Amino acid sequence: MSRRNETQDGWVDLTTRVLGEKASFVFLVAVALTFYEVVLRYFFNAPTTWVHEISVALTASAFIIAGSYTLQRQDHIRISLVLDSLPQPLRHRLNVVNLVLTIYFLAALGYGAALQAGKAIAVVERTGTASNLPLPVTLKSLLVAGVVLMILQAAAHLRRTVGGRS
Amino acid sequence: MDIGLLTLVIVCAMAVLLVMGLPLAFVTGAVAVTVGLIEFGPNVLGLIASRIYSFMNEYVLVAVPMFILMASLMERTGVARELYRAMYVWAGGLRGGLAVQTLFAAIIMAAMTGIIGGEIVLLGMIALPQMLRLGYQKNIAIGTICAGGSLGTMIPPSIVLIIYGLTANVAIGDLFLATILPGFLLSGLYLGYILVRCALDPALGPPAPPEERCMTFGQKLALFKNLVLPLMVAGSVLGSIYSGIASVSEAAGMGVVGTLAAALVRRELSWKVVRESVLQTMNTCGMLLWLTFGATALIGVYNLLGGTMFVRSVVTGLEVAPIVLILVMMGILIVMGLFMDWVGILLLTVPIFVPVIVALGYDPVWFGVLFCMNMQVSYLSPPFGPAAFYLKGVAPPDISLQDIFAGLWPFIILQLIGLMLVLTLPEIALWLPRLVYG
Repeated sequence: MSRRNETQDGWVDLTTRVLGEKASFVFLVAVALTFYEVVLRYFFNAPTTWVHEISVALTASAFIIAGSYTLQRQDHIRISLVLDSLPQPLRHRLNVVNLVLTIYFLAALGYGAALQAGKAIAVVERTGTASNLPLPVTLKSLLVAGVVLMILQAAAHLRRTVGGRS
Repeated sequence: MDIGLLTLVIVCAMAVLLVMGLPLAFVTGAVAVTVGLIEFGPNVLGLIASRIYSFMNEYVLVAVPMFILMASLMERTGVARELYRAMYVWAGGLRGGLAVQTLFAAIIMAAMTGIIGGEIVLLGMIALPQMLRLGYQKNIAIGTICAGGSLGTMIPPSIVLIIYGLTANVAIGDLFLATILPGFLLSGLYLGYILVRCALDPALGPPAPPEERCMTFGQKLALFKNLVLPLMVAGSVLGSIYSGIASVSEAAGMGVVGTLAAALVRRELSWKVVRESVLQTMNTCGMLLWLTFGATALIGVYNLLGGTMFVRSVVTGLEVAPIVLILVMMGILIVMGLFMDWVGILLLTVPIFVPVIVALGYDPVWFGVLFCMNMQVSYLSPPFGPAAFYLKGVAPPDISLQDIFAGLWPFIILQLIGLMLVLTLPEIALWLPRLVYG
């Protein structure tokens, strides 16, 4: 799949890409935290209570944001063999259908995620462990935001496709 | 709707959407949402979101980006190239020697990374030109690279096994131990094949010319000097997992630290290398994780409908020997492997198959090894064998995709032989975990 000309990108594409690029460094932070934890545990016999939870939360946030990053690049795994062999008008129509279906799933997921986030925010849900960080409420809210960004990104692709500039 | 009919509708809807070119992550998601809404109403959406949320919070999942990052870093530094060079000089006058060395390099790389792709690309860039230069027959050279490179997910650490362990609720340490011998079994089969073919027909894999072989033993050993650090990294990652010093996720994190340190010592660490590696990790995670989210949603809804119980009762109600059921499952995996990526297959079949396996009295660890071996076949099998496409990307232009697939079928047969061996002799997989954990 050829990458589109970047000058065509609107603010949504720019946001997704920049956010994805920034968020990718979260993995390095998780690596650093893991190193810190292992060193503390084996050399200073002082394991932490929070590294474990924080690194899970950090990578999970990156996974959420990675969804829109990969969507912007149109790199989500699909079988394109049949699609590519179809005549252009039909392929164009199917691309529109695919994007509408993508938005349909994401909207449904976003609704579900918002239900969960609403409950978590109401009680400021915490991990309930020794560190008791407010991670669940943060992650659940982030999932809603990530899904909304993906919907915007799919809509941007859809607008381009319908506009015939794909 | 009746669960049997519903199962059929789900399968057909998925097939149609997939062929239409909708990404798999959204195929499973859209089907899950639709079926859930029809059968249970809007509240099911909260349930789907909470399933995805709890999946994200699995600690083992932290290991996935770390292993990808480790592989991306290794790809961008000279470690693999040097590893190959150090191995290359040992080929000597052996017929097919270079292919054998390529295979050994592939096995060592497989023990350092847990993904497929990078390894095949690297071997395609380094080993293929060397073998073609010596006059190796194309098929042998191509097959060795693709089959050897695919071992990355067979020999631990392996992302396939991590996701399998999470989905099937099996200890990942057990899986990592159980695939060692089957991994060596496959390597041994490849090795035997190369040696026998080249012994019968020397033209297939001529030895290196004498002037390239006149290194002293000391010179050969000196080539390993620069490899000490990367090999220590690989050794310590696996060592800390097996000895129980660190969890899989911690070991993966330490593996990244070790790889960064090795790159630093070798003066290959730059901002560009790090940036490109984390971006590649981000993109791969976007693909992998969202696939798992979609499948988690679908399997969640299917379970709510009683689907897993339905499949189990249908399967256990069949009047056939359990081994026939296993063979049918293997057949399904291989057919799906012709068209789909391993993650998709794993997430869709394992939650259904593993309860059946357990109900039949088999060990899910053993089934995990069988699954992994099936996926080895899927990497090579046409029309979508990813190994072939990775190699095509870096092979000389006169090597067509047809050439590549032509080189792969003997290795597919070897993989099937290996699969049948582990299927009939589960001890090959289970002996080592039993020895270690008692």
